[in-house]
Amino acid sequence: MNRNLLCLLLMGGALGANAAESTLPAVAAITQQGVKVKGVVKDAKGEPIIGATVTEKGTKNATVTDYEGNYLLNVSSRNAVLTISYVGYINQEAKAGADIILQEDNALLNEVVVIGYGTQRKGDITSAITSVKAEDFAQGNIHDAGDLIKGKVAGLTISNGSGDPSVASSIRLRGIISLYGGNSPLVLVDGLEGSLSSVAPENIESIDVLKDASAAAIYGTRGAAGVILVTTKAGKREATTTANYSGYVSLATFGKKLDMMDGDDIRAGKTNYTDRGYDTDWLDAVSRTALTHNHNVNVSGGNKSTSYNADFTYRDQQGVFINTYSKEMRFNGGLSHWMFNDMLKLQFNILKRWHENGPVDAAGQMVYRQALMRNPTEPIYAEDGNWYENFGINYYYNPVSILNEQTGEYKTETTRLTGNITLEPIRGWQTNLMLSTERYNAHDEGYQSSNYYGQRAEYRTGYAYHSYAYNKTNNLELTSTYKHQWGDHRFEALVGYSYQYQVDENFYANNTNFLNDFFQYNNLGVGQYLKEGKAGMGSGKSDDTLVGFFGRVSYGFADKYNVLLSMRREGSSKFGENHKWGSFPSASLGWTISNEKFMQSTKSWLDNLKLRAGFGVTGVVPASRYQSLTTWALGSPYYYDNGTWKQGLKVDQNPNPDLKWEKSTEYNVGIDFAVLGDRIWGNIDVYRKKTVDMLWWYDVPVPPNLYSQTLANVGEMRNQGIELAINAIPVRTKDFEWKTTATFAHNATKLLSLSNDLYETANKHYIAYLGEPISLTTQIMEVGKPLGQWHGLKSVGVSENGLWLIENPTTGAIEEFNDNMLTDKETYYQNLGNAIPKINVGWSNTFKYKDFDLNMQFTGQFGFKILNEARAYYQNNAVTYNRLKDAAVAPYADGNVLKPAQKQTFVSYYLSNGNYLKLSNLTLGYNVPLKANKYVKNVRAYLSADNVFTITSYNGLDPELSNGDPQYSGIDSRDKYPTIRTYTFGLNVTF
Amino acid sequence: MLHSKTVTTMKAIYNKIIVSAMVGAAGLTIGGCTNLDETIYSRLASEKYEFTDADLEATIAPVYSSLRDVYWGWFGMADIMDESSDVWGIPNRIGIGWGDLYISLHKHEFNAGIGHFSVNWANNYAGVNACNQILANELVASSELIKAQVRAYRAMYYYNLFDLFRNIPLDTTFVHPDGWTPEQAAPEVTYKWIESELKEVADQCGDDISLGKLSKYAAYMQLAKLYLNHDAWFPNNKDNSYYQKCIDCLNVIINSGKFALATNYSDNFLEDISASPEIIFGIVYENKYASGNFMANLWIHNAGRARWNFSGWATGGGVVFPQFLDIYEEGDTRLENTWTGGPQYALDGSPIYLDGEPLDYGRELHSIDNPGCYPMESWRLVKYEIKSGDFGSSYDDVPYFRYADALLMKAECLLRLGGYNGETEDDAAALVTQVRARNFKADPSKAKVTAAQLKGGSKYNYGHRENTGELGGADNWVENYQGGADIELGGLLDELAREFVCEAHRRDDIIRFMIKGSNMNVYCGKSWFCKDPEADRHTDIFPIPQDALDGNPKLKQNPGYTAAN
Repeated sequence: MNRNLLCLLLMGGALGANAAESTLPAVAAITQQGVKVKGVVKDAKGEPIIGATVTEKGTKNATVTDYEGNYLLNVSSRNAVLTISYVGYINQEAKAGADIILQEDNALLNEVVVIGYGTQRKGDITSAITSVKAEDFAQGNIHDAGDLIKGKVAGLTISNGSGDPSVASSIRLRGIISLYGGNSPLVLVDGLEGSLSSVAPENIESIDVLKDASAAAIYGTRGAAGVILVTTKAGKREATTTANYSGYVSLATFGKKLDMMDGDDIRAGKTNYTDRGYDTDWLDAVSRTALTHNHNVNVSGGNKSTSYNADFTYRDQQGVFINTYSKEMRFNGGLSHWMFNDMLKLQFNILKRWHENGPVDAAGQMVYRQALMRNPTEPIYAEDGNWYENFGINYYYNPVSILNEQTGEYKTETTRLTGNITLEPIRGWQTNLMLSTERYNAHDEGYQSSNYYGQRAEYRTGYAYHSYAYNKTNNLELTSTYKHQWGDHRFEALVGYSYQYQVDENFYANNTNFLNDFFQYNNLGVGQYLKEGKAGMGSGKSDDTLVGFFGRVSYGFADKYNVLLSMRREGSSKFGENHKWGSFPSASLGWTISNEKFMQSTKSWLDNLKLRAGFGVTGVVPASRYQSLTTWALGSPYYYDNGTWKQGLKVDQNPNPDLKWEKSTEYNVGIDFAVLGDRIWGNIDVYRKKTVDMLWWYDVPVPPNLYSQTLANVGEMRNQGIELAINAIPVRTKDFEWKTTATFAHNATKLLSLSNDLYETANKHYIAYLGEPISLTTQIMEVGKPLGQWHGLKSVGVSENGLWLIENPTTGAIEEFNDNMLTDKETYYQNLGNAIPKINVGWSNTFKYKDFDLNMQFTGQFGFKILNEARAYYQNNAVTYNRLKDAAVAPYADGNVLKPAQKQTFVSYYLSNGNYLKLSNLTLGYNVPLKANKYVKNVRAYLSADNVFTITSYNGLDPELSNGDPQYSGIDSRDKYPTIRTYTFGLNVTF
Repeated sequence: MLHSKTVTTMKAIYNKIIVSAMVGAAGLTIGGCTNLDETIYSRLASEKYEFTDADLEATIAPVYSSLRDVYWGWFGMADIMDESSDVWGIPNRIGIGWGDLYISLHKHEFNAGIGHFSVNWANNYAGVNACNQILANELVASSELIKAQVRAYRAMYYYNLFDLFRNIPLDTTFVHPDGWTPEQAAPEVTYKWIESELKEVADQCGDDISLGKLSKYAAYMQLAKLYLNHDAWFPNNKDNSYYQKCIDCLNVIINSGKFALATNYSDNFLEDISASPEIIFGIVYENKYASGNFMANLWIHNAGRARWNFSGWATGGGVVFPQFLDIYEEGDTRLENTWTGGPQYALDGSPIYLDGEPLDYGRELHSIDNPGCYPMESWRLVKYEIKSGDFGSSYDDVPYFRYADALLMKAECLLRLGGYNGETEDDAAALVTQVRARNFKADPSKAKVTAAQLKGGSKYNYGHRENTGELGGADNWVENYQGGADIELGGLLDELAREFVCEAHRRDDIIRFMIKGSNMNVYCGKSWFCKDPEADRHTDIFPIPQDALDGNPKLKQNPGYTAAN
């Protein structure tokens, strides 16, 4: 006993131990009078409940159950009535001496929520955390974990604004906190840094989102954009082995296509193109109906001392553009073993992922752009059988040749090995050592043949390349947790240390001008460029270390009052010499009002009402390594000295020994509620988050500086918003159930400052640049104003000369477009709305009727404007290339059509209201009724559609845009891989 | 949940051992794992690596390489010194793009946000900084020769900055107190400093004439240019003695006997110009270490590349103004050495087609922006050698200071002074004739010019002249001619145009040449293509670029400009 106490003291966790022990003698107390009764208290699953209070009704005579759930009590008579109570369970009365099964008080509140370095009962949570379990995940053609919870977490925007099979979902939580650092939440897969694509979606048990800083602060410099905890399925002890197969087949096509001029329009002279006598639908020629098939097999089970699981997934996804694809194989295997009467647990895990895609980047290599721009009266093939090309026109290439004249593969392989030792010398005190290493190898190899446009246009025979990238991540994590519960008190403490080391290496080589196209990328050395000194080669290596010490204390009383305090002390090698370490504290409180005595009268309808308040400090690590150092470029500044070229050295980065993390402080107040017998429940959170020391690249004078920009921590940004999630089961009958969840989030981002005493810069910056030939900024970033502010010329009509009519905001006069307007921004530019959605919503519905179920997931964004880049480039009559059919139509009521004199430019006409509500997923499932048999336990079949329809005022293809660079919000890029619509048939079989 | 009360003593001891071991192990691990030092592998960092003497030697590179960036960097001197002038420009090329920033340059609608300004500011100051750094390093600045040459380079970078922006910070030291930011020096101060630096170091820069090296003669040439432009830069403080000083400097070059005019005009624009006796100072470009010259890419139509089979990108943006082409005299072979027009033929002699039409460069233009110029409009620049393959003009050396320039500068000073030191205006005419001679080989008599011709008006028919109609539709000429008869030394100005077009020369010349009887120069007072006369001369200098203003709040914008951002 005393020795245990000593151990506890070591961990700083002695607080409750003594008190707990003091209640124990009651078990043994037996008086001379009365009757001795005994029994067992268990939960619904048959597990013994330890520490339940057993009281003889109407007396103070009580005891608590022991570690096997047994009670022993001396009562006044055989007919005495016992009251059994335990936190989280419904109080129950029973006859003395009976075995008792306690029902959980509130299933919702007893859900286990993953909070980072541990779990907590939902009822004890004091922060804004949303937990989504597997049964609530979306189904269909799910390509990464983001798709599973899209629209289900208020404040978490998940979008996939691309149809590219290799592009992952982009995620953003609670606005923009950094202009150059990361705005994507930290994703931890079973406690280790990963991504939404690390594991197969089928392999995921739950996804928990730590939304506010009071929860995320335990992750220090990585937590400022929120934390997403992905927990994979693990085997359970004492569980029969189950095997599960789930698979599906999907067909995908582009959701929507741009309406470009066709052959008849060319022949009618609506473009500058000459009729070449053919009719080619170029988009058709480069695209297809794409097939995806996805198979997952999972086996798990366990006996008394060992549990295991293995999960294998194969996915083969075709891209809608010909020759684009993504193939994946993923494996996750785990083995746990308990020893020495459960005092020691060993756990091993291996995670493996292979990925492969083709050499074509349909967006980056302009396949899509060329298909849209190309003359629809041109043939695909020339008379000589080669691709029909017309290099006289600038930037004009046959898109079918781009797809077909490249070979190669981009392959990545990720392996993560994890080992855990958990020691639990006494119940409730666990010490865990985790060691993990992850290796990532990427190999990109490819060849562009002599018939590839680039080689033909530039008189080369072939271009071959190889590039390798390697990453190693080592993790060590040592944590010690003590949990204790006695009477109305709940106590938990955690201390830990974590160490992460990452090293990256890369190598590339390329060569050009081969004798023929035979070798492709398989004999890189024989190209002529190597001999001529023009072949490319390079390599690099860099590393960084992140070290953290952390602690957390959580205390709860009577399921009414909960408090959680945490602190992380963290350092990164990326920080400057003067600021290697930072502290990231948090505190949060929860008050379950509904459990107060004065709320007794509401018990009939109010199941839960909890008020939460939290505060926390988190950070963002600078994106790149070595940014605090004076670095030198080697190579580019060659100089000619006495007839020879000598290598030179030149500073390419100013030092900043004060470089540190961007610091974010957040306050969060929330309410959790559940009413009407848990038929309606939800939460509301209000937050205010301020980033200080925000990184910005400052223009600095040269001299005295060595380089013209310095990265420094100066700016301030504020995000504030409100989030609301409501779940309801409006109908629940024997055969029919309707369950619905609605999420709503509003966020406002404001730039507060970009200057301090040391670094001063202008209060306005023009950002969000459109490329050639428009070459203009489209937004203004201004101190004191929201981000994403569209800023440019306001068009109000078209003149008889076919030029835009522009409103001069200084005088109010309407003027015909001229070039000076583009550079005289002070006079002519004005604010034209905002690019960042003010409101994000999600609405999911599940209908169950007998063996059928129907799921509908809606997502929506409101209060923003999109720059329709495709219109800015293609709805114009100055271009040589093909145009949108709308180019022949007057944009405004004045009836004037744009003339060729009006060059491509950015005016407010190209901004479109982006509001939309999209049915992003629709699934109809059927559970095949099976007679009991020893082979198959369950069969489920479903039909699903993704990106079903969109109700929107947007005049482009798809208003759902990726959450990319915060300095480029709201631009619907003309080159993006258009989003796709998929139809899926799937089957799940459990054996 | 509660733990069991009944733990045996043995178990407790066992626990204690394990705990002690774990705490101990953790302590060891933690002790070894709080190290956050950075390790560098593939980048050099001053804080982590001690430079060897050889490394320090290599830090001299940016003294020289910065000049390559200055001249041929994107939006560099090759662009900025011509694109606001009366010889050529870049319009909105219908169907191709371009145009965006160049139209404002053409129309003299300058603002601090135009990329050319920040690029030229940054590249020249990078050069200044590199020089300051080397001069502070005794190991590298080890000889008088190197010190002198680096100081001359620095003066050259400052000359460019002064020429473009006038009110510039003048910083000549490398080590500064923390938080120090530079302030603009008065133009007179900067001018005097450049003058005294060049005077001090010129004779120490050495006699060795090789590409990339700044010799004594290059330093004198730079000094001569400083003097030549004095009156244009300080219009309220004109002083003829600067033209005299200019001639004195030029005489050092001319009398050295080290230079001569190349036999052919084109010899100065080959890929390798080291054989030309005319090069006083040149920047070396080369196909492995230093590429840059993108004249061919800027001028030649994509389809037109077939004439040379050069493979680089080409957009054919540039246009030469027909009014300028009109001032070439009959028989002047510089016209064909510099420009190509008419139907184009591939290397094998077959006609080149553009989307089914024969490629034919027309002389006439529509407009800078409304509607812009059509793809086949304008003759194209072939002055710099275009070679096949990935050469194009990318590796062509830059003739920074030419002997022909020295001769014509001397002629200009003699004409402005009405003779100096025993040399007369007729000697000036003889110098010009000497330079012209190689261009009239078929009829040498046509090369001869007189002082009266040089001092007469310009043949350039200045004035607004654009066609706002559309291709295939009716022409709509907007014309408002001023002519060039009222330009002082107009004949000489035309000669400079023909000789130095596309050599980063023209802006300075038309700022220096005045309209008779006025305080207005050609640059601001005259009109050409779509550029109209201006009310004042504030555009003689460019605005301080916005990012420089952002980076240093002490800087003040030049007169006549407001900060655009």
